[in-house]
Amino acid sequence: MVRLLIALRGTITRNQLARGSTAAIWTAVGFGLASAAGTLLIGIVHGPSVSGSLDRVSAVLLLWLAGQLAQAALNGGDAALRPELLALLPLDRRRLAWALLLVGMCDPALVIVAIAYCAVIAVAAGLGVAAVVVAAAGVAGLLVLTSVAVSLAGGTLGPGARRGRDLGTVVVAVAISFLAVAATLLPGLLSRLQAGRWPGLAVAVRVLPSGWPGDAVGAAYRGQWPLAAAALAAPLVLAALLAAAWPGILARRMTMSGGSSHRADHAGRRRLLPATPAGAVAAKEIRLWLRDPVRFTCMLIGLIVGVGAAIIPRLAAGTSGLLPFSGPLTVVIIGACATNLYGNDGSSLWLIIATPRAAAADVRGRQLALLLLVAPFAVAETVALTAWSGQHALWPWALGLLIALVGGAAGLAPLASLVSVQPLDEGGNPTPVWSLKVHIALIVVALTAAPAAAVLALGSISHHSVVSWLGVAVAAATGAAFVIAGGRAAARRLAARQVGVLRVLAA
Amino acid sequence: MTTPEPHVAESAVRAGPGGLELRGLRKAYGPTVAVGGVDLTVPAGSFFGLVGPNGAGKTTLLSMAVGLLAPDAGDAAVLGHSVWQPASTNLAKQALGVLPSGLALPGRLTGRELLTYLGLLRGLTAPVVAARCDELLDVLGLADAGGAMIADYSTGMVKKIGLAVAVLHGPRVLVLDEPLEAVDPLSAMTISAVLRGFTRRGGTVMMSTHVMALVEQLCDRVAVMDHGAIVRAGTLDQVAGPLGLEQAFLDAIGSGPVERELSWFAC
Repeated sequence: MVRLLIALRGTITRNQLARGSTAAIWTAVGFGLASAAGTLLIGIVHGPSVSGSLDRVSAVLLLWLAGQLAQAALNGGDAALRPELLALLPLDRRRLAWALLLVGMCDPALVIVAIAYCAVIAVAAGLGVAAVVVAAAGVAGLLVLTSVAVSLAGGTLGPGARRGRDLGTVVVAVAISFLAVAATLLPGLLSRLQAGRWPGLAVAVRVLPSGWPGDAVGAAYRGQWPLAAAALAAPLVLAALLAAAWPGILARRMTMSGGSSHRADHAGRRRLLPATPAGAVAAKEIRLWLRDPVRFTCMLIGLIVGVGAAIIPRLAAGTSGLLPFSGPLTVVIIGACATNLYGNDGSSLWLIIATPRAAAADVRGRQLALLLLVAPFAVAETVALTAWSGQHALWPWALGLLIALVGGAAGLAPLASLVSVQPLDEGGNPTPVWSLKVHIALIVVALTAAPAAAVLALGSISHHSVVSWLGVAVAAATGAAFVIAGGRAAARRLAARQVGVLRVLAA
Repeated sequence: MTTPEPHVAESAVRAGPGGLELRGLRKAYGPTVAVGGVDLTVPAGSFFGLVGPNGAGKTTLLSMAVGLLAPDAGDAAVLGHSVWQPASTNLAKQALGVLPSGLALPGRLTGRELLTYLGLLRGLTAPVVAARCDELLDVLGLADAGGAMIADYSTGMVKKIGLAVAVLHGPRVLVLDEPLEAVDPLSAMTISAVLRGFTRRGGTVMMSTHVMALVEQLCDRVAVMDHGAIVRAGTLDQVAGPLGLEQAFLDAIGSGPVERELSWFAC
């Protein structure tokens, strides 16, 4: 059965790759390999303290492990081999469960994770052959645990009941947000761990499963062989416990019934937006941003990461300098997620094509919805946290960047959504290439504030507040320019290419 | 084996001004020709059935006819307005209502929200949209589902809300791709009644379907499509002849009665 399932997954994956953009897929693979290589480098280039080095690597491995679990929970597990495909076959559920676990261990994506985990081996390389052998065994055990945990994460929050999936998506959004906050603080965290200046965090990262290979290497280095053996066995024991629970989780997923949600019928309810074509699109878009789990997840991540990345340094180390930039960061994240709106909507684009003169209204409506959703809480966030920071000299920066980015995000969103359109997978989940596009968009959206930032920087360097506030005016001008010019370009592109885009989305 | 009916010339179809005219529509996917240069006229006021086996090219043809799939060659015209010429495409789409097959509706909207959004997008005023929403949801039996999201609709409900989308703006030509596929009998009766009322008031309907009984019940003209080409077209009587539409269909596509069984079925 395992060979058959591996062959089935291989066939499905090959067909999916044949239909997708080869360049985009290889770019996503390259991005993953680069991240893994960067993690490996952290293990190779380490300080003199063995304990500090192992703490550093363990912290990064925690991000990898948590990221794999969050990705699986968001996507519902293996995108190619959905358990639902096999639901009607008269297969022994326990036998199928074990087979799927073994198939999961043959996932090519684990190669990239393995490269990252080898950072532990890189640290052990300077500690002797025995340490390297222990490190290799630890990495293998952690890979097994990762694979099993990923299967369970996908199965637990998989696409069974739609309401359960929606709730799971929100939970995952919160988890991803905290991961992202930790990632933004990574350089500072790693240097503190290397220097042994944060004992509490060091204990935390070593106690968690991602730290067990490091524990084993450290114990072997100190000659504490029973402790080393225990640390090597621990991930395998945990994997076995999780694997024991997997058949029940799989059975629940494969027989989960679809629940329906019911909303109040709003017939006769007073409209808040104008009854115009653009107003209708904006109303539709606002509803989708609040109801669609992919979009809502992005908003939640933007809010949590934006606030968390600014507040945590304030609470942990008294650093207030990031607080004024919380709102701008939130806007960058949400704006980046908004660069694939047509892909997220799928083949429902046909409604726009079939409606005369709808392209311009559709673009303007999407821009309006983004502005109405993002601007209020981004403004409140920026004003509140900047006031709390006491950094009065940073008010022009906070407001200038916020205004520039709100305009930039709203201007770019519909246009970027028509470039390299990425459909969701068959389960309605983001694909790796979708994630790559969003990551690239983070940089592009941030760059829309470059002109304003240049003037703001000039004001700070010259200590002329007039110049700094001129930067705010520049931000307003560039923001408006992006909205107007971006909208016009998007409307022209949509009108000219909408049939071709539909063909991509309907494939 | 019965003698095949003589092929009915295309000119016999052109009985009046065209509600929908297809001129030389062609589409190929690599070496596979899905639609090979189809000419067809759906007279204004007619109820036209397009039948054919799976893979005949019906969906491809209809998608090109309504502007959802770019043809490699040819054009389509709705009440004389070209679908693919930029100068007249908006006029064509204004007169056209479409129910495509295999394309999604926004699942996170309720039926009323979807109709309101599309009505306003088409430039209808809010009171008109609200009144038509109420009437459509009532006539189509969707009033009780006003609060349910489309993602939770049954197949029949999806077809009905799709039909509501197609007729909301008062089109004069409807193009429906398998509107009654996998639909329960009650929903099918409702949809059929709405379409019959539409043609009685002068509207034109072109409908693709696999169900011959439906074509015999609703349509006054029919075309048989096979391997990307129209192999027979005309009035229902002309095409069906004395042997009935199903036999005429089988003869047109060159198929005899299917009587094969699977060898491992128990006797």
